[in-house]
Amino acid sequence: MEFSAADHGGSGPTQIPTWIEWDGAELVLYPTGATVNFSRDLSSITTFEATYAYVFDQVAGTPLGAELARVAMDSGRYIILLVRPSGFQTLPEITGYLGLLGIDVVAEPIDQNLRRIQVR
Amino acid sequence: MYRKLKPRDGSGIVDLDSLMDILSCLVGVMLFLVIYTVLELGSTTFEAVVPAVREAPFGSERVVVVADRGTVRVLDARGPIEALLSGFAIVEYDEAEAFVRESNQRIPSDTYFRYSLTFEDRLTAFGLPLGTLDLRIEAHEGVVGDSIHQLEEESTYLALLDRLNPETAWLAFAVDGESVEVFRRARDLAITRGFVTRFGPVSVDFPFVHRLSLGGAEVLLSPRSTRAKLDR
Repeated sequence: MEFSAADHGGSGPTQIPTWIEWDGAELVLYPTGATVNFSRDLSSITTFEATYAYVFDQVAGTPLGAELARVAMDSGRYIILLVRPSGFQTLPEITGYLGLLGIDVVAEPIDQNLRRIQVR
Repeated sequence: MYRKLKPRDGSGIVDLDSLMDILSCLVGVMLFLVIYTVLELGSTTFEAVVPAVREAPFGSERVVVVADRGTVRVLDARGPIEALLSGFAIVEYDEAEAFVRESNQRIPSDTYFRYSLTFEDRLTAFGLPLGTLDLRIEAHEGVVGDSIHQLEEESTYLALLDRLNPETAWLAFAVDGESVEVFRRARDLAITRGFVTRFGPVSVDFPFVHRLSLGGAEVLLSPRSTRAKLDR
């Protein structure tokens, strides 16, 4: 399935999306396919503070972490988070972490069995 | 594979080895075609557009669309809350329980849900009276929402949308894992009718109880905006 972002319209500056997928166990950056795995279930971590620290540890030093840093530094960019149903429960943890970085997030549900995701 | 040919002795026995070879090849080719076709069908390209997030009109209130078990149901609690709480502002604390009993006799109901109040009289840790007023929402037995195949012009979903004003209501889709497809179709239909929509990965179990006291009604109908930076 090929995803595209709708034009936000208006006369403001163009907003550029970065596409990331979340399935409850890993974050995948598109279109490169760079992946960060989470061996711990985020919902089992008792506090948001500890959750964010764990996510930071996993993401730091990866291509995904570098991309998040770039998005956070650029007000003209935001993230479209494609969420599989297996990631629904822990979506607040991920959006909360991205929010902590000052990143705007638009969550979009996708089918659990969807393969061959393309973005443009 | 090379197979050594048996010498023919001319005794009239029909040799079927060559036929078997041909049949084996044909079966192999057919298997390949079937596998190829299945793979191609599985990789058919579909396009999906992630809609732009728009800000809800000022003063508009939330209407929930429950997208669960592959169907959608509109849950508009505004009218029932108004009906149930009519006159509540002038009720004294001691009269609250009686008010709720009387109010529940109205039994507001819509296509999918029926609404009632519950009142709990309790004390704070300091011994002060602290009554809590809750809204209880029950789903009608046996009434199911519209599936993706029913979301056409005559669907209940669209009939209910037509009763709503996009200037005074925005739609919050509570979506479970089984209902992504029907949610996407229902959202498209709502957007073409001018509604602002939001997605939440939420499973709603009924009966659903929501606290109305201590500002709970406002939380239900006008939750704090979580709009993104790009909307500001």
